[in-house]
Amino acid sequence: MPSIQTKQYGTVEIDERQIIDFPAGLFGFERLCRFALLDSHRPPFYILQSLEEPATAFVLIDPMVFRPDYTLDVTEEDLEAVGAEDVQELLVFAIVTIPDDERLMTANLQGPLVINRKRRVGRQTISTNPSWGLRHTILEELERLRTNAC
Amino acid sequence: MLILARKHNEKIMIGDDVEVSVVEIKGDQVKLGISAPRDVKVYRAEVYEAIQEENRAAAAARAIPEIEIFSQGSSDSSEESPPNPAGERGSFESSSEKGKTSPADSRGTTQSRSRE
Repeated sequence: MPSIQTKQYGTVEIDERQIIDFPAGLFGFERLCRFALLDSHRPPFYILQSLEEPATAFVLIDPMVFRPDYTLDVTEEDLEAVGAEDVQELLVFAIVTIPDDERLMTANLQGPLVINRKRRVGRQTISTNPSWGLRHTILEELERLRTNAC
Repeated sequence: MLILARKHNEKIMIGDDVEVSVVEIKGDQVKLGISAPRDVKVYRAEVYEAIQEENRAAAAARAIPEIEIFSQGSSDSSEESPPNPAGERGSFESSSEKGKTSPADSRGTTQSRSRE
């Protein structure tokens, strides 16, 4: 098992199946193409750790956790880029931004990550659906979800 | 870069199926109508830049939130469990079996997109 340097957890061993290629990088991080997808200490968060730059990692969340109504909006081009034929083959994550007051953490639903779970190739896409913005306050939306559920 | 002059209500074609028309010209603002197949994404260039910036802000975060998102009843919030970056709860491929915390199985969706 390869061991990698991480931003959060020091050196950890990973399974090769946790390694994901992002051939185009992420927006603003085009040079970084290899990542490991890690479980965090704290579900439901995940970590996307750069293998090329240990100081760079992203916190991810499954959008369905706080927005069960989330809809993905991918093109043929997006599918092709990750070698998928169907959206069913994809995992979807939103990148979380954590400000000093972490209760105000937000998830970016406008630029979700899609990952072909079999081939382990990923890509950041851009949603054109106006419902999905750059900064959805996670706790606020969870609260709304609970209130509406009752 | 190709530069074309167009007047009000005139159009240009990009390939066979993307049509851009000048809908309105008012002062320093031009309104464009864009007809394109559903599969072609159309967005303002600022959107792309905003996502770049948001990624940078996200990468700057120091740590995972200390907040319990599921304040109650989440059977799988074993807080005391050791860090499990290697994912012994299952490799990434099997993570879709974990129920609540599993990455979303994406749903193909259709949505109406108005562009004009």
